[in-house]
Amino acid sequence: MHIDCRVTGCLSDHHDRFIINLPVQPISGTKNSCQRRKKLNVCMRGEGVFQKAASKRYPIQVPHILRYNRLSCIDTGVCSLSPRNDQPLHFADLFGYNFSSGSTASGRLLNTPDLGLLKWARTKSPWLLHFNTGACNGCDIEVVALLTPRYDVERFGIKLEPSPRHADILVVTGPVTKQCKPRLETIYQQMPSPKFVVAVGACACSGGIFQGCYNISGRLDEIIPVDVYIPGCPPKPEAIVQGVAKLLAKLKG
Amino acid sequence: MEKFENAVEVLKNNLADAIVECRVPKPRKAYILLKPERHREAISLLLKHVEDAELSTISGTDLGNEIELNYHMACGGTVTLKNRVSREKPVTRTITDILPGANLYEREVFDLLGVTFEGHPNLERLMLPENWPKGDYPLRRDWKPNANQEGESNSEEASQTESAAELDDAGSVISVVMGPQHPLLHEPERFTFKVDGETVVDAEMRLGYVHRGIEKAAERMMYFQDVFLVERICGICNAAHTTCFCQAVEDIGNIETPPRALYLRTIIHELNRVHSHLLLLGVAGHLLGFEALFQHVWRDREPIMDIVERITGNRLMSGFNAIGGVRRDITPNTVEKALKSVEEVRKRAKFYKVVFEEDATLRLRTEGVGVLSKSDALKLCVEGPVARGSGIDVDVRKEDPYAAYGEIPFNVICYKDGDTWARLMVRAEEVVESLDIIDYALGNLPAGRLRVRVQRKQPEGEAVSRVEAPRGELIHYVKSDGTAYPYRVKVRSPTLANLVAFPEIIRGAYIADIPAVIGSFDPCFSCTDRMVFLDTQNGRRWRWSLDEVNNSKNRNVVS
Repeated sequence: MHIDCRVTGCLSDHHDRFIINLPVQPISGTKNSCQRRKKLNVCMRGEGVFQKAASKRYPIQVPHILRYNRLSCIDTGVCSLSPRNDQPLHFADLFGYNFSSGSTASGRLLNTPDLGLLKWARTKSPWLLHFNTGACNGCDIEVVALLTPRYDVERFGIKLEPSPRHADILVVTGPVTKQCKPRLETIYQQMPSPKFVVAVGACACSGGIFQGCYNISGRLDEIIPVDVYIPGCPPKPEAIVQGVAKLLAKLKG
Repeated sequence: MEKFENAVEVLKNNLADAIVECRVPKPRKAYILLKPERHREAISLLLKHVEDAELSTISGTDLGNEIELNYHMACGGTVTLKNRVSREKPVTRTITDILPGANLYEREVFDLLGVTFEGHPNLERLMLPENWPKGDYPLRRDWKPNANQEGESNSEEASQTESAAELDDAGSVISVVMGPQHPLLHEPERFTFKVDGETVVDAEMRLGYVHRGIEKAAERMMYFQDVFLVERICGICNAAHTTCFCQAVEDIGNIETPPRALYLRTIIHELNRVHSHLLLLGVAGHLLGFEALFQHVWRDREPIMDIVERITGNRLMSGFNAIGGVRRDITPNTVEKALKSVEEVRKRAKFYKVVFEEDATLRLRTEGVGVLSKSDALKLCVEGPVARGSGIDVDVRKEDPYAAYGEIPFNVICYKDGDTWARLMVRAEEVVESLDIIDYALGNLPAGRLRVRVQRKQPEGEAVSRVEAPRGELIHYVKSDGTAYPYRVKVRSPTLANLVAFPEIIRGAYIADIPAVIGSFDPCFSCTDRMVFLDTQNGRRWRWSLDEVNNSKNRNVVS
């Protein structure tokens, strides 16, 4: 039995251990969907839950329906998890990479030849954490505008995520004020690796008009490493989309 | 107008012995220099004799030997009461006992200029970062950057460790921390709510995360450059800031702005208001869990952004106003397009008004939540839609018309309920009013020049300028010493005025109501923090956010 499901999760290494965060929902319209939803609408976290799902003999196809991403040309990496003697699945088996030891394993389940689930998930569902380090709200408003119907970055799987623990990309707006600097550093530390930083707006890129003000620590890249700079005062939403797209291209390698 | 003249008369008649100098250089603007320590009498008199008199702000200026404290009182115009204290021993009496709304303003002056207010309930050295050196006041004229700035690195870390124990809660009261990084707030500010069960018993705020030091920066730039600086105080209401600053400088230099420029300023200013209010209505939907409303409102905000982009060349930072006029003209083609968009948006705005009126869930979440009575609102000197939601009929555009508002008919929207719903409704209706203003201004655009030539140097003088920003009355105070650089620029944003009332309002609400109430305040911390840093009751304590607590545990586990 195969159940279609959509993946709306992210991958992160939490507590020095790999966790896959996949809320699994059957697509509506299938027979008994309510029943299945009840059974399967769990947030699968960690290997224990994987085992449970697997032991109940629900092979899960990941991910078949890509409506969430609205991109048709995804290299899907269709895989099946099937129960194996009720043994817990180890993430090294799944992804071919052991985060704690750094060693590689076979990746016997989910590792497609050149694009593993890991990389796939990272480039198809980059979750952004937005932090304002002293901006005038101009850039912030444009970042929020990205989520709204005209720009709608959710079609790239991009989502604003409130918690640093679950975020892949840190979007920083504004010159870094002295008051914000320790917070920014804390948030950066809290994010799971690999993490990426996007500097949005002239202030974050260079300090902008606030260079030399007494309460400014300096531009963003003096404090944390920056991957993408998006200049503008404020940059148009299109420019921010392009910046994030460039970052994604970089991730794909 | 009568109210203003009445106010000046009252002061002249009753306080003749205390007045050293009284100037009324422009209609509805008075500058009264008082003998030292007579400011309390003057303010009491105004509060007693003038209806709805409020304190707009207190600005301090370092004059060299003395520090001048300007109490800007809003009563039909602006009456600026000047009280000078010596720079060697800067001490004066507080006015918080007469007017509790002065609390934050006095703290601001205390922190940045080092004036002590005797009798202030909570005057603590708090406004700049924790590690700012003591006795270092950045707004004094002889202050040099980086003189005492060494060793700034670890003190915040230290204060965090010290106060970790303070999260211990007394009895059934628990502290809930929100921010500085929190999904509810798109700006870094921190609220600590004390909750008993589900009820909020107290709230504390910690601002200053966006404090950049713009007022000091303005002193080292020329007037025409400062227009671009004040624009960046706030990306949302940038036209309000530039209009206000340009008006102040035009007042000082006696510059006559051409009528076409005044109309164009009004148009951009109102477009700002429309997009700001729509933005807030959407965010309010988001905060109430009405996600569809958020998406719909923000979609309908886009045509407004398009008009702004077409007129000014940028979606947000318009760079439109200049001293003596505006920088770009508007073509007939653009007028036509703009009128069409305004018509479209008006239809939608009326629809949203109906949504806010009739949606049962929305009303359940907002009605009777976070009530601010009219008398409290007056006492705490709140402004803008927050005041109008509490039944105070205050709007600078009507009371003290600037730009083209004197010639344009419009209504001031006012609700008596004083709750979250009323504050949202005020904004929903104001969107329609603003669209009408834009419509009228576009249809009646006078011909003529766009701007007059203005010299870089401005004559000696001072000016207070007020505009009605989307969030309420915005004040700029500019003092000139006859050079091309301003001697002092002071900005008071509406959010600061309204924040005084926040702990009052949130007391007694449920935790789940916090987002709705914060939303209905429409706080804009980039405006507020440009010069201010405060912690209303908490003293110098530092608390951990939940994230940080988690983080430290994790660190211990890992290491």
